[in-house]
Amino acid sequence: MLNTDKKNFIEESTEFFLKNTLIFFKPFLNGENEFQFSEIEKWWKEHLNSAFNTSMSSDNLNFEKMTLLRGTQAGNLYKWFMNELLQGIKDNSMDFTKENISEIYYRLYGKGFGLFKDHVIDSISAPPLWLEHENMKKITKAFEAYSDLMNSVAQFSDKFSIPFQRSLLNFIQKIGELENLDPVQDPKKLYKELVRTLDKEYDDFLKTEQGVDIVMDVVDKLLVCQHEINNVKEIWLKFFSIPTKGEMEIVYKNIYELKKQNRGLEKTIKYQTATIDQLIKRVEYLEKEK
Amino acid sequence: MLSHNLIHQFEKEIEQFSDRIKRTKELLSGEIDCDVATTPADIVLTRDKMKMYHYKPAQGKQKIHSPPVLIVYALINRYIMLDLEPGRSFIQNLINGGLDVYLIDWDYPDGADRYLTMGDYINYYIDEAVDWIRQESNSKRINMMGICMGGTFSLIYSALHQEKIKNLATFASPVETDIDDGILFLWAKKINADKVLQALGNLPGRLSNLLYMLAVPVGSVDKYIQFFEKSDDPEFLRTFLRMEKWSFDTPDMPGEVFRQYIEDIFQKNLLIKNKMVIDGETVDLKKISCPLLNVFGTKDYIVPPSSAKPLSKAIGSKDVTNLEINTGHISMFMGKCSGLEVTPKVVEWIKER
Repeated sequence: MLNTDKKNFIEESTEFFLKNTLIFFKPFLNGENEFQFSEIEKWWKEHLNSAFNTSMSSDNLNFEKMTLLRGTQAGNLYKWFMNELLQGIKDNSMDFTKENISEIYYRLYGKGFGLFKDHVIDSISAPPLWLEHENMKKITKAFEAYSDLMNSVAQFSDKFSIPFQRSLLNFIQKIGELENLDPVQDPKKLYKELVRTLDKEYDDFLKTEQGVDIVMDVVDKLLVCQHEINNVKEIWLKFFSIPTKGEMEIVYKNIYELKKQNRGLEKTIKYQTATIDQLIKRVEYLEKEK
Repeated sequence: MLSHNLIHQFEKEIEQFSDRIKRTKELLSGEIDCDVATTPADIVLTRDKMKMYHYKPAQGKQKIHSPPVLIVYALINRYIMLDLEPGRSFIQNLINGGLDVYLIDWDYPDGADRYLTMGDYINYYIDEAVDWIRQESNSKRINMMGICMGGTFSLIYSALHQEKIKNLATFASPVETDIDDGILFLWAKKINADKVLQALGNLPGRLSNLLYMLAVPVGSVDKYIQFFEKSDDPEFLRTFLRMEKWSFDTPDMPGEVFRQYIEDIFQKNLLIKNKMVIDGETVDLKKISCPLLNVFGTKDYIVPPSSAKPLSKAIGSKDVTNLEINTGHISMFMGKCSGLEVTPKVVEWIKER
């Protein structure tokens, strides 16, 4: 959101908030309008600004969770409001004097504003980059898939080092043995021994179930991640009216089908041309015979 | 306890290795000829991205054997491995042996090829190439050679179009996939082809490369140590760079082909069970009645003998020859054994039939 948009939004929402607060309490004011709203206005604007400055982060991008959270907050706000209002009225013996109204008002205002802020202001800023619900979901999934891929790569690195560690231990023991038996003159001999050991260890390891699984898990997560990234790319491709991968695949499929049809037609033409040639020859032969 | 002498040797080796790196850097900064696939050839047929090369015959008066040979390369990496450099070229060796050689280059599939199926490759591209050669050479049947995955394609083609194939030779081709000594086979059993297609469309070459390197993690690093050791030798340097060029020149594999190849062949093992279906037709390997030469390397970690060897008993032909070479997947075409052992035997086998 641009700064000017933000400023306008704060001004407009403040006006809306104050206007509705006044409407809410008007029936209890007996025609008097003596509330001083300047303090409320100031506080509202401060909270709104603060929320704008802190809430553009995408820490929690799970849209379903966010929706549930907001719904719960709204429900709590509603329940709280009704209870507080009921309690305030009861406590003041249904006597709506100016003092009692003020008391109810400030009572509602205190905790209520906090809840209202959590519900209204934070939700204003939740979807960053003016993205729609569906697109937010795509981005969330891509982040989750990327995170899964990174986890899988980390596990792969961990498990893939097992044959290496084992080979090195064997290799170091082997150096000692070789030195005792027949002092090694050429370091390359040791390198070759290491390569041989490593090669065998890795070949054995990769053929085990664990070896196969760690590789295939990375591949699987990579594919899921790529798929989710494709979905995110589509948001921007659509935004700029560039054909998406899915749309191009439909085009490719149609081209493929057309080419196949064309091949069939070419084959038929070839066959019929050959038949015509044979018939012409036959006619020529018969004419000669006649 | 390590001897002082060994420690001294280590210090010396580290110093020398640093010098070798420096020298190699200097060598690499200069102009190095690392062109590949230089054997003269004409493009005689194109269908979409597919190109077919016809190699020019060897100079001299050698009689050219007929019918011609069509080489079907894999969709993984590129055919340049068969024609790496003069003196290390499987194709040149075949030509020098008097064979008339054609080769299919699949080029670089892209997003638009995502829906191509194995049926399209086998019943359209390969079939077009075969028909073209048959017509051009006036032969009812031609010889076919399939390399790795191209061997699997050739087998399926031969089973579906036996009347067009005179002799079939497969090289390091996966057939039996319920094996436990091939890392790539174990991975293939677990990969979710649908997810690959959904996320990437085609199988990206860079992902294939990553998995190949991961299958031999030590070898993938050690080869560079060996490189620094021998980089002073200009011939070695050029060959190494050409090999690197080939290794990392990995085109993407069309998505639907990948799905079918992985699910039907690797996960369900349908090919050897004669249950694979291509374009609605069941592939019955028993229908292959032409002579078969099954070439495989005993040290092949990509397609182990346990996968390639069972082919011999799976087909209908009674004329089956197994050629076991004491080598790996790539050396079969580029190593010393290629010119000395593999190609002479292959040429002889074809000429005899």
